[in-house]
Amino acid sequence: MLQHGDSFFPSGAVSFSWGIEALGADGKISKADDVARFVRQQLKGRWATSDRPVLCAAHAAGGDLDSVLTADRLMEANSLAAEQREGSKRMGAALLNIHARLETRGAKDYQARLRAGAAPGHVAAVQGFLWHALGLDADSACHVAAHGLAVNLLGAALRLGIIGHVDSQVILGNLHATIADILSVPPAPLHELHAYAPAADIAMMRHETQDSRLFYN
Amino acid sequence: MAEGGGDLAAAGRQAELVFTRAPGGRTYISHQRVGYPFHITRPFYLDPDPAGLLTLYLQSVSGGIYRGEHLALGLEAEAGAEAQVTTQSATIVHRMQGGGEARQDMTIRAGAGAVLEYLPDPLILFPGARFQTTLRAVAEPTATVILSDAFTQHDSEAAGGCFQRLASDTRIERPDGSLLAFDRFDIGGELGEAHLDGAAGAYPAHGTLMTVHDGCPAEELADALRQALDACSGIYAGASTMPEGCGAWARILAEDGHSLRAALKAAWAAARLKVSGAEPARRPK
Repeated sequence: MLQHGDSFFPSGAVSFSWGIEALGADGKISKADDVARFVRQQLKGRWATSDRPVLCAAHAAGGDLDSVLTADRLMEANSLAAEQREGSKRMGAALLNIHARLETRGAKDYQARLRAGAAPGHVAAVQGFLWHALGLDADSACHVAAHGLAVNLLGAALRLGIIGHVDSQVILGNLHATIADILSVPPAPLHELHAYAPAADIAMMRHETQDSRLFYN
Repeated sequence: MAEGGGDLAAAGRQAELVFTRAPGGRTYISHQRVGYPFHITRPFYLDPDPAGLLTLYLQSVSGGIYRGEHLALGLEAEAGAEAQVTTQSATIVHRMQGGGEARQDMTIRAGAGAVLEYLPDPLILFPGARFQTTLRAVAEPTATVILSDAFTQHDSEAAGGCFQRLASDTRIERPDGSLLAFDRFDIGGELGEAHLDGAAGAYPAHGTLMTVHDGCPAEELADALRQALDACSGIYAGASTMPEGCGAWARILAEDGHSLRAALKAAWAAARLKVSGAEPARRPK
């Protein structure tokens, strides 16, 4: 669990800001409080209600890749902002690539589907089935994913110079309560998947035409 | 979410309209069943091009949406038909006292080559309002569908109250049942109000415009929306392509209802220009 949740693991997450870069450039996020609220809201307003049900469904698929694909496709249809959609797939493909080389069960098969254009490969679906194959239970998998997203977002804010190292640790510490809160209730079933993060959507859409870009989204 | 995705029995719908293209090119209403609380105007032909595009105002005579109401509507544009359904003013969703919600389910169908626009004015959510709305658009691959979905809020008692729930589910499907895209959210007024996902800025009015269209690359459509929105003030907005390249969409956060309406109108006009090659006429309201 520690290995897969650690930022040392080459998950590809460092390339993505999920809207923070454009929000910073647009002057919408400029200080630690802004970052804390934004990250908390991404966890509650998108990850908890959209990524988590997909991750859990892919985990519950128990290695049945067709069931993984159902969850993966639903994520595709619910990923309206282009950079959100492409970012999630890039991250999924990167994770799959590492696990194909680590020979994690199912990784090569699902990677073949991606390469054939037969599966989107969203990160939540890929995490769900890979971490199941590694023996992580669903709750641990959710903890790893939520923590990973929080670190990813804070890392982006840090590299953009919006927050400092101490800020990022304070915010992360406070976010643990948010994550515990989210995970204290069962995940929504797939057919209830929903998300509302309009500012992040807008930021990622504006990022497409932003002049200088450090991150993919 | 629409129950099982199935249509409600026709008898259960308060409004049902079918638009058909006449041999001369003009679209007419070939079937209508409109009951309380809805009322429709006569058809208008407002645009110089496409001149046959029918515009219809769907009105509610009840003064808004009340607790316990379950409204169901169906719109269909048959192959080649061109129609816009809009409203004359915003719809108020009233306070729902003592529990309970209101609900609206709508199905839109667009046949081959049809153009169907459903552009209601924004909902105005009063404090204590609870509303579930679903919009299922079933579009043939060559159909064009333009949808707007928007809300703002009004603190009618100036007591700092906010709406309690807005659950909205907009989905784009093909006739074979495949799901192309969906935008589904379930929020309380606290979230919808001001927080910009937690960042600075106060945007109580939110809107979304989706354009499903295969007549040009989705990227061109997204560019057109983007440029139109860039010229608007009082908003934070963006546009991009949709999944499967089925079209483009825009999300708008606005400082007030006026800025939201102006931005939605600009985005719609840009989409229409891209779709039909001509600027649409202003809709009198």
